[in-house]
Amino acid sequence: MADRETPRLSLRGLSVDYRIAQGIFNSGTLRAVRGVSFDVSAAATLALVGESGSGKSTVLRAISGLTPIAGGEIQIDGNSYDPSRTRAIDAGIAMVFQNPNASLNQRLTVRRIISDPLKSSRVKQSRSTTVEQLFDILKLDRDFLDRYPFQLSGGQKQRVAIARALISSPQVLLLDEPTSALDVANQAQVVQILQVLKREAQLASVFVTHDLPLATHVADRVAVLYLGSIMEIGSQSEVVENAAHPYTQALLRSIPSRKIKSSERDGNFRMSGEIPSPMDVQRGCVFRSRCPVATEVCAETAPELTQLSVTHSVACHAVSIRSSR
Amino acid sequence: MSDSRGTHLQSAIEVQHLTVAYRGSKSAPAVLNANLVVPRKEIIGVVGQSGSGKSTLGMAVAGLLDPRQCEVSGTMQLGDIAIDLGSTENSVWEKLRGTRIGYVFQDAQAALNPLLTIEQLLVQPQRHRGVDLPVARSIARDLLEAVEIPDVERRLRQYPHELSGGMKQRVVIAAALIGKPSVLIADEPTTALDVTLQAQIIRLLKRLKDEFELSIIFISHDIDLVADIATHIVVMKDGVAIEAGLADSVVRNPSHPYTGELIRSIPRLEKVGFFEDKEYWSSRG
Repeated sequence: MADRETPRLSLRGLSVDYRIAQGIFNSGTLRAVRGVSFDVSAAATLALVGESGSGKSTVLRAISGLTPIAGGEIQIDGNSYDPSRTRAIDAGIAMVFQNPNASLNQRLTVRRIISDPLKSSRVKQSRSTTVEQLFDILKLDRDFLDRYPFQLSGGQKQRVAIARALISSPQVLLLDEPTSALDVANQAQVVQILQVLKREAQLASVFVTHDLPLATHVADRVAVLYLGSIMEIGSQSEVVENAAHPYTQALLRSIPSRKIKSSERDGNFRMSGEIPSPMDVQRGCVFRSRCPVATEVCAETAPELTQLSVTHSVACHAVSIRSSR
Repeated sequence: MSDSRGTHLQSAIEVQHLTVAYRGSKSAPAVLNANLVVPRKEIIGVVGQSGSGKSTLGMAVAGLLDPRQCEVSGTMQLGDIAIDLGSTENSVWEKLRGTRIGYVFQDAQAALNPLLTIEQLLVQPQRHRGVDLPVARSIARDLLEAVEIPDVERRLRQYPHELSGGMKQRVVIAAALIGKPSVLIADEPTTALDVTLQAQIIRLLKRLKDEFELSIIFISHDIDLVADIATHIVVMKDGVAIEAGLADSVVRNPSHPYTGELIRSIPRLEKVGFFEDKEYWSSRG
């Protein structure tokens, strides 16, 4: 790897546990993220795709220090970063949340919402972009600066939330379903702004979404998550055109299309059942209970991520067996 | 399939000149002079963005709009019953809802009483109509099986919060079918669900349509989804039905520019070279 530049954000075997009450005296642990590894370079976007309960938001919360890490390592520009010791904002990490109604303080003006993070961080005012500059980049009217969040539309609120994330001039931007609360027109605008920012500010972004078509639209690389494990990771075209994992294929087949009706494409492959509770995960492959090609080996050992190409990796016994033949 | 008029015998519901205005609102009516024909045993999709009036349309057809808040006008032919949408008493609607018109809401959590078990949720409405308890219980079981809920006996004893989102929506669909309605209105029934569950619910609705001989009004913001499930599409914008026709022709050759915009605004896999006719696993394994 000597000739390749150091990734801006790097995860190595990240695991996150949640403690949950079982009755009054006992508590159990639930492994929400199981050994997730990926790299994101400057000016690149990785999309984390998965269904509810796949752990995609938890990965972001762990990176930003909102949830403690149970194992693994996070590196920023090759340096180890411990979210329990260094605050995310000081490490150059910023996050945009799904619901701007919940993430913006209703009692503060837009100006204070955006500029307050600077007061509590070590980031110097001089280094950071001014609020006015950010407003121009985000195509927000400067009149909004003295308004309150409830006076703005959903799309405007989400752009204010992005401005707040950018005020500390972060190097890593974490986006947790930033467009799922918006209608298609606002979604397109936010995505467009993010594309510009990525180039101009050389941001490394992680974009969490349940929407696979959107993921391929915004990201250079896509990682498919299921019950806290990466099932498949690769460039957008590898994951979509050459989807190797049966789960990725099932996801692709579930997307409604006006071109081919589901009744005409159901024949080959359909997935039944629901994502199991993370409490009930047995040993072996986490996808086994819904997998149409599962065999005995899948019940025994969890498949490791195996490289299909330099950039494309898949965690599936069936794929490994086939490619080793 | 003929166009909008002169198909009384073929259509399950025919709505004429529906206009809904929210009282005290100075803005344009929520629905303006909309016509809707739902052919028997077909699915018709109503598509539009937030605020287009698509949900108001669905509620008006089921008599769910409060006359104190809305001014409704228009007529509806429901099978052999003629209904004046503006003046029909709630007591009449109460007889039609459940038995002639079923409703599936977007938020299954909110649609199910959290204090009742799944069995109580499905048995109580039947008891109100005088169905004997053992019969009502066996119908409840049959309905859960019809909506493909596994492990029926255990589910019947559970409360809504113990079920996943997909399961809850199946229960809501089962509850809507209790009175054997001929028309089912489904308002964004899959919006809160993941795509794999959405695909399952869509398959289920198509199967139930045949099995229960349902005519379905499927309301959604997702034109791809509507084109997938429906044979006919109505496109709503600012309360006006701007385009209506067979799903395939509306989507392939939209006559209104807004419909084209709606189609183009959705990010699609085709743009990055995903071809859906490509053979998957079974042929490559």
